[in-house]
Amino acid sequence: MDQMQSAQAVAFAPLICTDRIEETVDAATFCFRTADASPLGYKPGQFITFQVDVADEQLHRAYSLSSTPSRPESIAITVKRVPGGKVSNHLLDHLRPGHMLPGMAPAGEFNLIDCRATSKVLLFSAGSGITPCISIARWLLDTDPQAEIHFIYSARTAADVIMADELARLDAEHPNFNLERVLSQPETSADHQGRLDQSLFDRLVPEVAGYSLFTCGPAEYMATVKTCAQARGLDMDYFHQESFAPGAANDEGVDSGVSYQLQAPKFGKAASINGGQSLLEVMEGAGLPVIGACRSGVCGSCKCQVLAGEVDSSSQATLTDAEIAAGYVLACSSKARSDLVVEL
Amino acid sequence: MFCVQCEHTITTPTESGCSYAQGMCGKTAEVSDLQDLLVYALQGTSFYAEKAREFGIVDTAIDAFVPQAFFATLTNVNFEGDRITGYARQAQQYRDQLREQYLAACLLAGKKPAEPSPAAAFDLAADAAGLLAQAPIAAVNRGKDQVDADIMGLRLLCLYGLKGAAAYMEHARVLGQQDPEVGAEFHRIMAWLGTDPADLGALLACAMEIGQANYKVMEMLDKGETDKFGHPQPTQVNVKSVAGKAILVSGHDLCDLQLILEQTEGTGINVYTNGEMLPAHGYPELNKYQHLVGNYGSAWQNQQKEFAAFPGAIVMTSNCLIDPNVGNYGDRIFTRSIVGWPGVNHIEGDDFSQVIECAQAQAGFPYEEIPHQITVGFGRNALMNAAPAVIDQIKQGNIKHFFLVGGCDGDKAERSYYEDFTMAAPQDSVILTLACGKFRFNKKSFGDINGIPRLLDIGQCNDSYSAIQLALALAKEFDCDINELPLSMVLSWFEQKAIVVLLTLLSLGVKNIHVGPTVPGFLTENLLKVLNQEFGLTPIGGVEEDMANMLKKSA
Repeated sequence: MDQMQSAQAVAFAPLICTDRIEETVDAATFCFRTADASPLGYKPGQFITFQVDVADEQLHRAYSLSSTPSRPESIAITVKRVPGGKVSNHLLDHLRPGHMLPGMAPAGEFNLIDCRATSKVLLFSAGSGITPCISIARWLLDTDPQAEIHFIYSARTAADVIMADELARLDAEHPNFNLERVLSQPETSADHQGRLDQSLFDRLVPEVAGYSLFTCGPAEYMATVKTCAQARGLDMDYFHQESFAPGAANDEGVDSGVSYQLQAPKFGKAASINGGQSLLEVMEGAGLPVIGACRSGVCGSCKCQVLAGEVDSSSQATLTDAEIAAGYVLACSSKARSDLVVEL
Repeated sequence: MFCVQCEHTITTPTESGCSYAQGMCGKTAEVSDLQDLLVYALQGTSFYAEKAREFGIVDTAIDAFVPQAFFATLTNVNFEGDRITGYARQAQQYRDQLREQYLAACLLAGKKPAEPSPAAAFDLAADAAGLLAQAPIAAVNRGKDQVDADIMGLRLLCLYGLKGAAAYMEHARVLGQQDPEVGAEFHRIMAWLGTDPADLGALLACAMEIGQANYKVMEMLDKGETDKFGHPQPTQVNVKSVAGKAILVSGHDLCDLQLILEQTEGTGINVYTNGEMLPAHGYPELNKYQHLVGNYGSAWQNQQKEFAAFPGAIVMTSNCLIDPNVGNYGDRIFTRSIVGWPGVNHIEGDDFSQVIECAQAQAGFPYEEIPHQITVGFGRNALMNAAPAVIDQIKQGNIKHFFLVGGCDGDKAERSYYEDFTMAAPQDSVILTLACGKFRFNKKSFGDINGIPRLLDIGQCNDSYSAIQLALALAKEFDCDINELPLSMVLSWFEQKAIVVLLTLLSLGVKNIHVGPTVPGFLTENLLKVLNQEFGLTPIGGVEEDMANMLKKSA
C-alpha cells in the first residue's frame, strides 16, 4: 500500500499505465507514462525493473522496453504469460490503464548505444524476446536513414507472433526493414517453417560483413543464433545477446546436496542454503528485503555483501572493483560454498 | 508506575512490568498512575452500583459510564492525563450519587448500610500533585508484599480480563445493546476486585465468571452489529489504494464508520478501513457505500509507518493508538470516544466535518494501484450457512482439521510463528481467523477445498463468538464434545481484549489452546501450571512440533 515503498534504497518512480494492447492470447503490451508526463530517458534495448506486489510478496521483475526513446511520450513493455510466472501472470491478469506501477530507471548493457554496432543490424528474437529488438528497430527507423534492418522472429504459430500487425506495418512501410518470421507451424508460405538452424540462418542472412547482431529469447535459442553467426563468419565483436533467463547462474560442478547456513544478522534472519540454490532465492525465502529484478546477473539490483564465507559467482556485472574487493556479490548469480554471513 | 497489562511490557529474568518513567506503549508514568486511580475510583463506583441494586436502583448512565471509562485504561487507548483525571472525578461523582441513593434506601428500609470497601471509601485528591501522591494506594499491584505472587497474578488476570469485557460492553452499548444483568455482574466483579481478594480459588472462579459474562457481552455485540448493519457476507476487499482524497478509519467502532460514510458520500473522498475495521466490509449496510473503497495497511504496530504514508485524514475510533508524532501525522489524525493522545484533535458528537476538511486539504492518493482482493465476512450467519457444505466435506474426508488462528498482532519477531503456522497447515485443513493477528497472513493465497476457502476471516476479536457458534454446531452435528472436534486454537495475545476472549473460551470448557507469542507477564509459573493442568493451556512452541501434536486429533 505504501505507494513508493521499496525494499532497498533504490529509486522507484511511479509509472502510470496508459494503454493495454492484447498481442496474442497470452501476451499483452502495456504502455506507460511518467507521473508528470515528462519523457523517460533510455537506450533502445534496455529494460526497466518494476516493483509489483503479488499477494503479500513485493517482487521485482525486469522487462525490456519495446518502445523507442525517439518517441519519448510513452514507454511500453510486452508481457507474455509464463507457466508459474508470478509477476508476468499477475500483470496480465490485473494490470489495466490507470494503474500505477513503481519502476526503476531503465538500465541494461544490451542496447544499441553502448554495444558496438553498425547501421546494418540483424535482430534475432523469439517469443517475448521481441521487445528489445523491436525497440532497436523502431529507434533505427526513426533516427538513421541509412539503417538496414533484418528482423528475424521465431514463434510457434502465427497466432503466437507478438506485435504481428506492427511488424507487418513496419515491413510494409519501410523498405529498409526486412521481416522474416520463423514458425514451427506456419500457415502460409510467407513464413519460414521449422526451428532456427544453420541452414535457415544462412538462407535468412545473405551476408554478415558490416552487420551487427542483437538477439533476445530463450537461452537455447540465443545459443543457436550465436553458433550460427559464428559459423557464418560474423565479427563476434558485433554479436550481442540479452540474458534474461532465470537460473542463468552456472550450475555445473555444483553439489546441491550440501547444505550451509546463511545468516543476515542485521535482519535477525537465518536460513539453510544448499549448493544448488542461489543466494537470491534463499534470501527471498527468508524474507530479506532483497530486490531480484533481472535474476540473471545483469541489472545489479540484488547486490549484497558477503561478510563471511565463500560463494561461487557466475556474474559480477555492474559491480566495481572496490565492491568486489569488499565482498559484494550478485545474489542471483552466486551460490554458497560454505556457511555465509551476508548484509544488504 | 507499574503496568503489566500488555504483551509489550518490560520483561527481565527477575520481573515483568513497566515501572519506569514511561511504559513500553508510550504512556507516561503520570498517566499510568492516573489510570490506576481511575480504575480504583471505578471500583468504588461499582461497589455502590452493586449495593444500590439491592434496592432496585439501576442507573443506566452509570452502567454505561463505568465500563466506558475502564476501557480508557486499556492498552493503546488514552494517553491524556487530563481526560483520565476527568473520568476519575466523574466516577466519584457517580459513586457519591449512588451512595446517597443507597444510604437513603437503607434508611428507608431500616437496613444497616454495608461498610464501604477501601476503593469505595477512597476520595481523590483535589489537585494534580495530590493525585500523584495517592497513586500507590491505587496501584494495580497494591499489597504485593502482603500476598504471594500467585494471588497477585490472579488479581491482575481478573482485572485485565474484566477490562477487556468492559471494552466489549462499550462496543455493544454504542450499538444500543445494554443488559442490566450483565451490568450487575460487571459491577459485582469490579467491586469485588476493589476489595483486593486473596483467595486463590475464589479468584480462579472469578476469572471464569468474567469469561462467562463476556460470552454474553460478545453475544450482545454480535446482535448489535448484525441488527444494525446486517449479517456479514463473504465480501471481496481491495487492499490497494485508488486515486483520490482519502479518510482512513481504524479501531472497532462500526457506527463511527457509518457516520463517516454518510457524511463523505458525494464529496469525492474515498474511505478506507484499517486494522480491526477490516471486517466492516462484510456488513451489507456498510459495504453498500461505493466510496468505501478498501482496506489500507496492516496491524496496529505498523501504523507509525503506514499512517505516515497515508495521504489523508485518519480517525481512530477505539484502540489501538500509538504515538502519532513519530510518524509526524499528529495533525491529521483524530480520536473518538475514549481514545486520546495529547495534542491530537478529538471529535465529540457525530459531526466529522473537521475530518472531511482535513482530508480535502491532503494530497490524497495520486494513483490507483493494481487491485488485490481479499475476502472477509465469514461471520456467524455465513459460517452457519456454510456449515452443511463444511460438514459434507468433513464426512467425505476432504477436510480433516480446523485451526482457529487469531488474536492480536504486535511487533515481536516471535510473532512470525503465526504466519509460519498457517503456511504449514496441511492442504486438507481450514483456517479460521479473527482480530488483527490475521494481518500476518491474510494476504496470502490459501486456495479452497472444493469451493470452501481454506482461510475464513471471521472478523474482529469479539467475533470469536461466531467461531464458537460454528464449533458448537459442528460438535452437535458430530455428537461430540467441542474438545473432541478436529479443531485446534492457536491464539496470539497483546492486550486485555485477548485476555477476556481467552477467559471466555476457558469458561466454555475449551481445552488445549495454544497461546503466544509469550505468556502474560503477570502469570506466575504456578499459575501457568494450574492453567495447563485444568485447561491444557500451552504456550506456543515450534511450529512443526505444535502442528504435529494438534493433528493427532484430525478427523
